[in-house]
Formats: sequence, C-alpha cells, structure tokens
Amino acid sequence: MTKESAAKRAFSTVLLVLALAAAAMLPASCGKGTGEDGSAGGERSSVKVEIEDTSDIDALIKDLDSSIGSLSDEDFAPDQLNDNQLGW
Amino acid sequence: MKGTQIKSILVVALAAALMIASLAPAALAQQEGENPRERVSERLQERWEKVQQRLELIITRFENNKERHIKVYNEMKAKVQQLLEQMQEKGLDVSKLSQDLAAWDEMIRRFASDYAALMETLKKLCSLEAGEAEQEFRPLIQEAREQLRKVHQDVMEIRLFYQKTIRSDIQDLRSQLEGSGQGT
Repeated sequence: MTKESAAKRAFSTVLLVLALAAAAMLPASCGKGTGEDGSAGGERSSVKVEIEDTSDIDALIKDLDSSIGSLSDEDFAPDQLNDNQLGW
Repeated sequence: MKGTQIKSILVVALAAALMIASLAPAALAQQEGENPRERVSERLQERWEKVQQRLELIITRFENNKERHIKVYNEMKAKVQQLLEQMQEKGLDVSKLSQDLAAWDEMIRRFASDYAALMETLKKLCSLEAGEAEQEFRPLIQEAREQLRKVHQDVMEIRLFYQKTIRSDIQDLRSQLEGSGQGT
C-alpha cells in the first residue's frame, strides 16, 4: 500500500466516524428541547416557599387559589372541534 | 353616407359588442376549469386548505393553553411539596397530604398523556391531503373530539381535586401547626 492510498483510507475512515457520530446525535437533538413529551414534569419551581407560622399557610392557600383560578376549563372546551368551528 | 345607414352600423356594432361581452366569461370559465370534475376538485382543495388553516390555529391555541396549564400545575405542586417537607420537619403528620399530592400528580400526568394523544390525532388530521380528507376526516375528527372531551374532563378533575382535597389537607396542616404551639 502506498503512502497516498493509506492517507486516503485514513481520511475516509475519519469521515465515516464523523458521519456516524452525527447520525447518532441527530435523533437526540430533534427530540431535545421541545418539551412535548407529554410529561407533566416534576421539576421544582424557582419560587421558594417559607412556612414559619399559620399566616404563611394562609398566604400560600391564597396564592394557590389564585393560581388555579387563573386557568379555565374552557381552554379545552369540547365545542372547539365542532363542524362549524372547522368549516367542514 | 346617410344618417339611417350610420345608425344601422352603430346598432350592429353595439349588438356585436354585447354578444362578445356575454360570451367572454363563459370562455374564461371553460379555460380555467376544463371540466366539472376538475372544478369540484379545485373547490374541495380550497375548502380543505381553509379547514387546515383553522386546525392549525386550534392546535396553536391548544399548545399555548397546555404549556400554561402544565406550568401552573408544576409550580403549585412544587409549592405544596415545599410546604409538606417543612411541616414534616416540624413533626406534623403529612401522610394525608403526601398521599393526595401523589394522586394529584398522577392526574396531571394523565392530562399530559391524554393531551399528547389528542395532538397526535389533530396533527394526523392536518396532514391529510384534500382527496384523503373526504374519506378520513370524519373518523379522525370523531376520535379527536372524544380525546378533547377526556382532556377537558382531566382539567376539571385537577381543579376540583385541588379545591376539595389538597386545599383541605393544607388547612388541616394549618390546624395541626396551630395546635402544636408553633403556629404563631
């Protein structure tokens, strides 16, 4: 084997390894960062809760009531897929 | 040339112009849609494109709503979890809240999973070609409606579970804290 052909073979091996590495990374990058896996997640909130006494619990209940109150069941109202909404 | 001759020429010219004008739209229509079947197909295509646009809007709206719901639920869960840990450190009985928090988490996961199934169906619907839509729209939209009903039910259950159970557990801990003498 000449020096030239050995160099060509080494170069094509490197290219093949790079291509395989890129192919292996592709599915991971497509699935990453979308956050659409449907998991509800269990990550901790950045909001810190400090409970010293009952007034802190009262404040927490008020805060939680307000959070749940900010969401509407109608965001997923079944009539949004009616024929007249879709025009079919 | 006599006046009557000029008048006759003008009348003939006017009649010819009117005839040409009345024939033009028909000729144009014949050029555009060569036959009735093609015209029906064009109309179906246009109609389906409008339905697709509406579906895309609905999908975007649902995605935004889902993100908002999940974010709020996760923040609420994290706050309740912190409360639970701190009350446990104070020696209070947090077993009921711990059990109910796990059940609530399960409900939120079910919502996310039912939502993902709905999205899959809606995206499948949206990717249909006009010709396929004629056959496949009805069964797929029925499936999506059923899935949306489930998602709606999940959201109501999550809210009700907080209002009837989690909130009551927290109030119970408040009473425990007060009774333990650590409440003030």
